[in-house]
Amino acid sequence: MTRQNLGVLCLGLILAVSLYRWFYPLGTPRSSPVRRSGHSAPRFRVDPVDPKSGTSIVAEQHQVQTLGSSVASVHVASLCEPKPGTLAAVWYGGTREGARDVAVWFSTRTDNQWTEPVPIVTAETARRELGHHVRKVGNAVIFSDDTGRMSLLFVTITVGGWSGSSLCIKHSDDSGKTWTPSQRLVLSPFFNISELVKNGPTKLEGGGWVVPIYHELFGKFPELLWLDATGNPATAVRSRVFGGRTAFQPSLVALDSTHAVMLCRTASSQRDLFLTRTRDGGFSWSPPEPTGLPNSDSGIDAVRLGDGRLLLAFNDTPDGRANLRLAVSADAGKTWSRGPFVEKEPEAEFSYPFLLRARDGSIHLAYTWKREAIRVVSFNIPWLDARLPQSP
Amino acid sequence: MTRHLLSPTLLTEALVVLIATWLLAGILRLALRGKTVPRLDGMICAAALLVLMPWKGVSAAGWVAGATAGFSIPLLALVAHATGRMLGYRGFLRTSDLRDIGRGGLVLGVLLYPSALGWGPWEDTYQFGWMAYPDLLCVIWTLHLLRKGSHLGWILVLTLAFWLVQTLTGNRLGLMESTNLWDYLVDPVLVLVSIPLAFLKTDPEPEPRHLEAQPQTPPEQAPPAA
Repeated sequence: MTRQNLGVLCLGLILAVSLYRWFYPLGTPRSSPVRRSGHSAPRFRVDPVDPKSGTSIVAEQHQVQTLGSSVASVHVASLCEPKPGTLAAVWYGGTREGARDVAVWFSTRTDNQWTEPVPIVTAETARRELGHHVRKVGNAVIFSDDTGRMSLLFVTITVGGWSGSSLCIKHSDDSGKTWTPSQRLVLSPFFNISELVKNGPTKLEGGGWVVPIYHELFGKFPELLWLDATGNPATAVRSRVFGGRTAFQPSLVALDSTHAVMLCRTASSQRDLFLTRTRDGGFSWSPPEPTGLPNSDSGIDAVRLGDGRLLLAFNDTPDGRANLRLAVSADAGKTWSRGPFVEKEPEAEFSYPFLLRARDGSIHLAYTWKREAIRVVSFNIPWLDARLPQSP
Repeated sequence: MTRHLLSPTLLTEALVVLIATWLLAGILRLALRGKTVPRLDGMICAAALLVLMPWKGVSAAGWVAGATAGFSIPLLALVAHATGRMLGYRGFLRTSDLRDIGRGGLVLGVLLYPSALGWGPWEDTYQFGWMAYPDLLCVIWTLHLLRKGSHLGWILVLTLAFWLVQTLTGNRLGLMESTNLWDYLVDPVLVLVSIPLAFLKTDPEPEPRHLEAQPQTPPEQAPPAA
């Protein structure tokens, strides 16, 4: 057999395996727009709209809690509800944003009491677990599945600033007491840098997650990270929402199994919140359009309420982060009604809101309070509705 | 959760060991003024010791792995070739192969990086690396190179085989963290190295065997005139 024939034989084998993979895909989450032949379109898992949702409780409920940690500066909080009535929160904190001593802090709330925050990821632990150099850690997002298993997506930086970030993942099966070793996700071909996360994921039908992530190196744009139910990095894929430098740091809100809106922080000189839509489960997206709400180059988050309305938390100013406000849309993001201010103080910073709709329909809003603490505001729909302008 | 049988950065470690071997051999050759050609196995062992020894808890290879997502198989082949040459071996790549790698690296770089980094309104070509049909395109390209007799064809056979094993086993073997075909085919360093390689001038093609010079036969002599 000549060498050429041997090469053709090897290629034939590879081709056969490729074709097998094409028809019987392995690995990649079945529901993702990075589809192979035979894949169904991705479908979001959302609760059916209940117009009476939240109206059974007439009494307004509102509570403010402050989470501190023994560090000078904290930022970028996120929440999840691993078990009914229990909350878990993560955020990063250290001497300042981007310092090498920054750690990802974790705390849980049971019986309305938050536990003492503990660091669950530091640059040192990430370095040890990943087996390669990590200079610092940053943004982290926590989420949980139906069994209470928690997953933590977080940013590590080896070289440079935020644009040098890569995403890593770890999981906990025991309410955060122990965590699996960190694993890195490879999502960018350029030294795997500039992939970040800020807002929480949406569940997919049949298991798995779609996480709104973003890129900020030469361009600044939103992306989607598709994870299978186990959160295995080997099966993770990502897709682009749109490119360029219009908007980034997305918040994804599924309206039904195939329709969703994505609200994004501005990345352009136009100080507006941007919105884009999908009708096919995230496979294609409309061009980003300004919503008419201001954005001061600051993080936002949105969530769907039980009755189908959208709730947004944002800084209602084109400059600075001196207030934090809620807004509601009853028409899937076409128009917005401004709601109550959560915080308002000249020269202060209230930023990076994260919204969670709990199983009982109540809303929990976590945000950075003056960079000194993380605040969690919990309220119910009657409290929100009482503070919205009355529709004619 | 995936448990890797091997280090998830094994290919990066191999590349760094080869680069260290190349550097060590180069320094030794300079120091010895070319009198003795160092042995390959000894050099690789010395380089591996240097590269895999932990420093601040992380090996030199780990420091490189932290700043990258791994390197492509063609780059690994190029570095292995360069290391062999530095140690006095002939190397397994001809000038035409190097030029093929250079041209391939440049074309792949142009196709991948502008769109993957979000420049302009193009589709994100990187996500195609998780799909099935790019490997079919790659198979066609490899077939063309094998028919041409280019050694890059063999490198691509190896690349595709590596990648398929990785994806079929759900990356349980390790070797590399990525399961995207692009990461096995091209990386930013390869694109940089490809620029000079793409413009290499190759030696003229050898004459086909049947046209090679025949032994000269004396011209038939005319019969003497009667």
